[in-house]
Amino acid sequence: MGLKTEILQLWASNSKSYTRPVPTTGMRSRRLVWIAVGIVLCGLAIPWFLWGDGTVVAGLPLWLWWHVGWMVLASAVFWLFATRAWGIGIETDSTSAPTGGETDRRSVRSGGDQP
Amino acid sequence: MTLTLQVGIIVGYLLLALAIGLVAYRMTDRTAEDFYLASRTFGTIVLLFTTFATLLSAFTFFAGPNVAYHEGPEWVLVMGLMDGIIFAILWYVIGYKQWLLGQRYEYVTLGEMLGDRFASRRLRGVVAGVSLLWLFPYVMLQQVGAGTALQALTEGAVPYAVGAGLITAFMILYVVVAGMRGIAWTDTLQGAFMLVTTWVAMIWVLAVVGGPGAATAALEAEAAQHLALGSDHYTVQWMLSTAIVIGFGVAMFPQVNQRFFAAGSRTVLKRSFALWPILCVLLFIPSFMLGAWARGLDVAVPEGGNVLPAVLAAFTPGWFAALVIAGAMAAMMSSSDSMLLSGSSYFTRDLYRPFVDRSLSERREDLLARVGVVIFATAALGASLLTPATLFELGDAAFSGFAQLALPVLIALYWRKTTRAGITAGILASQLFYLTTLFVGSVVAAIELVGSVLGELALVGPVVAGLEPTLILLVTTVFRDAYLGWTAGLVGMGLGLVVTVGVSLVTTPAAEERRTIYFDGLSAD
Repeated sequence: MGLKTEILQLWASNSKSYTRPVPTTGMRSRRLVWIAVGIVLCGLAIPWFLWGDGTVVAGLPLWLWWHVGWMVLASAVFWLFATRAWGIGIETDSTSAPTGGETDRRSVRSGGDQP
Repeated sequence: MTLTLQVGIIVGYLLLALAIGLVAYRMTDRTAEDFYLASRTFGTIVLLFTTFATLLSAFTFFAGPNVAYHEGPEWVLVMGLMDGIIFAILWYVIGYKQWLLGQRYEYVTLGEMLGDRFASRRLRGVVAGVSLLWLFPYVMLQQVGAGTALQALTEGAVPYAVGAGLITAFMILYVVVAGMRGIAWTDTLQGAFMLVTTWVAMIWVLAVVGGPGAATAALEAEAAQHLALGSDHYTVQWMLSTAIVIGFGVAMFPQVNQRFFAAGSRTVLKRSFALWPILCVLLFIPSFMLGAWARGLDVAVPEGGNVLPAVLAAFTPGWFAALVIAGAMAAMMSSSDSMLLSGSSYFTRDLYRPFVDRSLSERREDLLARVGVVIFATAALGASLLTPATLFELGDAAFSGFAQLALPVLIALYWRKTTRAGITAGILASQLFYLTTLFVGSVVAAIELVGSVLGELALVGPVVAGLEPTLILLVTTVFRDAYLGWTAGLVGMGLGLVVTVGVSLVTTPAAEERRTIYFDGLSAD
């Protein structure tokens, strides 16, 4: 058990967010907001409210302009997500180190860039 | 003159791609991880364009514009939603999580990632086997596409078999030599090339016909219903089913899924994610609007032929048409080369290594992977020359087939209570369901055959004769193309979801399962 305890301690000391509780209500509601944003982005990529409409604006159907605008908006929202909320729902920042026989059999690498 | 020029442009293009492959070869390590994933080092532009070029096959150039020509430009919306938004969200939800896990546990394939979590060699094999079942015929379709395009472009001077063979041989050469790094670099060239040529093509055609206003007016005069959103073809259910099924299917396609492991850093993933919707709409608008406008422009499209080459032939010089066809070749090759590589990695890592030779060294695996590419490509070419209808049917349905994997995987990634039995049952049930809907005709024929054989027997004959119609009715009622307008692919995904969750709830996890590895310690630093 000695080695295992040592690994657990090493793990904990390496984790900056060791003392942070998981997941807080704030985090949960932020997650729900982003899920809602995702659903809206999917839901209105096709302008259902223009169903049957054939209005042409500047050489293209109005519904196509809506779609183009929506995709640009989606990019902007994704950018916002990437800068503000990236990691939400995935990165655990958890206090729980690997438990019960979960010590990695492979080497642990760094997780990429420093934020 | 034109023929020589056309062939010259295509050959020149192939040689350029090969040169890039050779440069990449000089940079490779002789390890399997480098061969499959370029040692997880991709930057933003390379990851963005390699995924883009891999995702968008010859379909964007041929089948897509054909649909827009025959049914109207709403196809842009379906593709925009599926690739630009749904896939982008999965890029984060599945892709980022896979990337983190890949960084930590050095996974190379999806099957490996699942097999490790559920401590199941069998699950790993099932995921690889199912993937190869759909991937193989899809590679064949790409080869057929290339052969046909070359034959049409050269007006038969390069026969179909020679064209398909040439492209395959060429792909084998640079995939085997250059691996993932070479593929990604050529993809970057090909993706940029596709974007530029389709835009130039659209601007060129519009300049000749007098601008988008004139082109749209001509379309309105010819087929006004194409401008109004929705039709008998584009129903709400069909548009949503198609976008959802293909969007999820794309994320499980081996060559796309494997790219989730290959990003160099978190920043690369973030940037690619944000740029994705714009990149998609930039390609779809010119390519599909050209197809849609062609309807009003009196372009003679041969029966069963492709619209885009016909538009280009009518409005642009021969050399430019050849350049765009080279772009289509680029699209087709950039998808196929990655499929060959991924197919080979699924085979060597998830089938050969666990089931045949567990003690395979890194160096040997690298070699075996290259041999795998040759075998996979040659077998697909051989099969495509025999034009077997069943396999083509599988290839056409590949996106829906892969989509059946998506929800069980998603649940496993985010729900701790998923059990080995649950995910295995979910994958098998949805695959079986979808395959049966696809081949329901053969199932009915089999029932009839068995019925007629057993009907001869005096004892069971009457019973069988009474049972047969009921059984056929049951099969044709349960397994259909569409359910109230929703496609079988979408219904199958729902089934996979229900079975995975249901079976997980009623079974207990096996002792060896590593239930927390998808959750603990996936932190930002």
